[in-house]
Amino acid sequence: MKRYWRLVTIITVVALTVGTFYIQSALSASGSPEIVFEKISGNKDELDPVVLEGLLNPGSGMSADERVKVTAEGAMYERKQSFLERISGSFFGNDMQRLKEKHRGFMRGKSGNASFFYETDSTLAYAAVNNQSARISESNMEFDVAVMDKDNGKTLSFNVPIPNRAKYVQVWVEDVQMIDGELKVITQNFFRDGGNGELLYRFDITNEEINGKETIATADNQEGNKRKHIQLLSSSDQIGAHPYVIFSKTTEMRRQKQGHAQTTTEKRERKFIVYNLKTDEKKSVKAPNSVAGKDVLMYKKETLYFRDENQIVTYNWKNDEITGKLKLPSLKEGGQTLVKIAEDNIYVLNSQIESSLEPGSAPVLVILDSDSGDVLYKGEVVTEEPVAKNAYLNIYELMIK
Amino acid sequence: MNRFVKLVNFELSRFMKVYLVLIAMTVIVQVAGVIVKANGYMADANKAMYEDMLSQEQFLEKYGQMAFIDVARSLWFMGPITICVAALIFYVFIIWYRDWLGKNTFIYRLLMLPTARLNIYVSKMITIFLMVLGLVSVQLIFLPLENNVLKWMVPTDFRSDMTVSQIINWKYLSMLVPQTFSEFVLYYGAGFMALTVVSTAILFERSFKWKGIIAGIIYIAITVLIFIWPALLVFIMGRDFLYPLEIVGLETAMGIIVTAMSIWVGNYLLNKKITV
Repeated sequence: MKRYWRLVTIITVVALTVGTFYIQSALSASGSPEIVFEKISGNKDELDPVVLEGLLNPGSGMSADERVKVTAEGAMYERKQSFLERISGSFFGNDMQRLKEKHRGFMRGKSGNASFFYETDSTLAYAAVNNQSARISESNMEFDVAVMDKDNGKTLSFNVPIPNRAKYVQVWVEDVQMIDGELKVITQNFFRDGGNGELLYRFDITNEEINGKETIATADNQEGNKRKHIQLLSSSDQIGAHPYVIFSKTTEMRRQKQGHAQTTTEKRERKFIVYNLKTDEKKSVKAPNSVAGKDVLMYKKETLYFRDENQIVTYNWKNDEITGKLKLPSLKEGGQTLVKIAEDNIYVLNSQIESSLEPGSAPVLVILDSDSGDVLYKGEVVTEEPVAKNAYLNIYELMIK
Repeated sequence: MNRFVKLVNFELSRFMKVYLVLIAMTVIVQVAGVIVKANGYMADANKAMYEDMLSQEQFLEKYGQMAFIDVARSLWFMGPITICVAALIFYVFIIWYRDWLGKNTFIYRLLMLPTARLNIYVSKMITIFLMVLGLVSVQLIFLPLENNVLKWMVPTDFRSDMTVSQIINWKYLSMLVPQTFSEFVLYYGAGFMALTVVSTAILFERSFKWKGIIAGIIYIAITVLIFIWPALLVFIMGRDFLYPLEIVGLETAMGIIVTAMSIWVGNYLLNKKITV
C-alpha cells in the first residue's frame, strides 16, 4: 500500500472533498427562507389553487435575486431544483407543462403558448403558424394543425398553406376552438401594406383543408390623424371551450398642435366586437360611459369584467347592463395589484414592487366570491423565520391552477 | 489489476513535482490576492474617510462593500486556475510525447511490459483525470480558508459575507464545480470523453507520422459529429421534437459510444500500428 501513496492520497482527497461538497449543498437549507401564507381571516382551503411567482432578494449585499414559487405548501426555489427538473422546465407548472406531462406523444415538437391549444374532456387540438418570417420575397407560412380524439387516442395532423399568404407579414394564432367537429382558429394577421386584422379560419378536419375564412375586424391603414387598435380580450378559460370570442376596437383621434412635435389624443372611442363561434354572428357592443376607458380584465360568457380603480365592474353585453360592482381591498401607496378571475372566485394580490416580508407590510392576498363579493380568505405572504431587514419579495405573477 | 494500479501510480509520480508546484502556486497566489485586494480596499476606505472626510456611510454608498466575489473576479484568483488548466491540457500531449523523446525511448520499455497495452492507454487517461479532479478538490478545500482570510482583514461593516456555495455559483467557477452532482458527472464525463478523443488522435500521429496528423484531425471531426448529431438534428428540423430529457439521454449515450470507440481505436493503434 505504501508504494501507492500518491494514488491513494489523490483518490481519497477527491472523493472526500467532492462528496462532502455535494452532500453538504444538498442537505443545507438553501439559506433561502421558507415563505408561507399567514391567515388573517377566512378559509385556508381556498388557497389551494393559488400559485405566486416572484423574485426574492435575501437582502445580504451581493446575493442575487432568486426565482421562487409560493403555494399553500410553501416556497419552492428554482435554485434548489435538481438538474433534471431544471432542464425539463417543470418549475412553473403552467398549462403547457401540464399538457406535456399528460400527452407526451401529442405535444412532441409543439411549442408556443396555451392559446395555440384547445382542450375538452374528449378533444385536444392545436394550431400554429410555421415559417413566420418578415421577408419580402415569398412567404411559405402554413398552418400546422393537429387534433386528437382523447377517447381513442387517434391524432389527425396536417399542414395547409395560409390562403393569400403573400399578403401577410405575420400571422399569429390567438385562439383555437372546436364547434361541432369544425376547428376554428382566430388569428391576428399583419398586412404587408400596413395595418392588421383579426381573422377566423375554419378547418375541415377530415378532408384536411381550410373551408372558410372570415375577417372579423381590421384596423387597416392608419389614415391621417386616426389610429385604430384591435385586440382579442382574454377569456376566463383560454384553453377550454368558450362560445364567444370578444375583441376590443379602439379608434383614437389625434391632433398635432402647431409647432409641437408631439401629438395629443383628442378623442378615444372603444367598442367591443362579440363573435359567436356557433352561429358565426358578429355583434358590435358599446359599453356604457361609466366604464369607458377602463381596462378589461377578461370575459366569461356574456360577462365582461372591467377594472375601475379599486373595484371590479361586471357588465352583461347581451342585455347591455351593469350587473355588479365588487369592491377590492384598498390599494397601498405605490403598490401594485394583481387580479385573476377563475371559476367562481376573484383573486387579488396587493403588494409593493419590493415588498417587505414582515407582517403588517407584506403582500396581501384576498379571495372574493365573484357573485356576492364576500371575502373567502385573506392572508399575508410572510417568511416563517425573520429575514434580513432589507430583504424583499417582488411578486410578478398570480396564477390560478 | 495490480499492474494497472502500478502504472497509474507510476504516471502520477512522473508529474508529481510539477503538480505540487501548481497546487502551491495556486494557494499562494490566491491567498496573496485576498490580502492585496483587502488591503487595497481598506486603504481606499482610510483615504476616503481621513483625507476626503467622507463618513463611513458615504464611503460605503460610493464604493460598496467588499465581497469575496471582488477577489474571485480578479486575476489573482482566476490567473492560477487558468495556468493550472493550461498546464494540464499541455500535459495531455506531454504524457504521450515524453515517452518518445530522448535517447532511450521510454515507450519501448513501456510497450515491452508483460501487460495488456490497453493498461498503458487507460492509466494515462486516469492519471490526467485524477489530477484534474485533484485540482478542483484543492480549490474547494482552500476556498473557505481564503474566505476566512478576507473576514480577518476587513471589518464586518465594510464587507458583505458570502458562503462558499454562493461564491461557486458565480459563472466561471460554476463551470468547474456545477450546482448539482448530476451535472458534475455529466461535465467531467464529457471531459473524460474529450481526453480519450485527443489521446487517440495523438496515437494516430504516433502511428502514421505526417499522414497520421490528418487521420487524427479526421478522427476528431468524426467524433464531434457523432456526439452532436442529436442536437444537430433538432437544429436542422427547426423544431424541438425531442424533450430536453431525451436530448440529455441521447447525448449521454453518444458520449459513452465516443469514449468506448476512442479507447478501442487507441488500443488497436497501440497494439498493431504504433511505431517507435
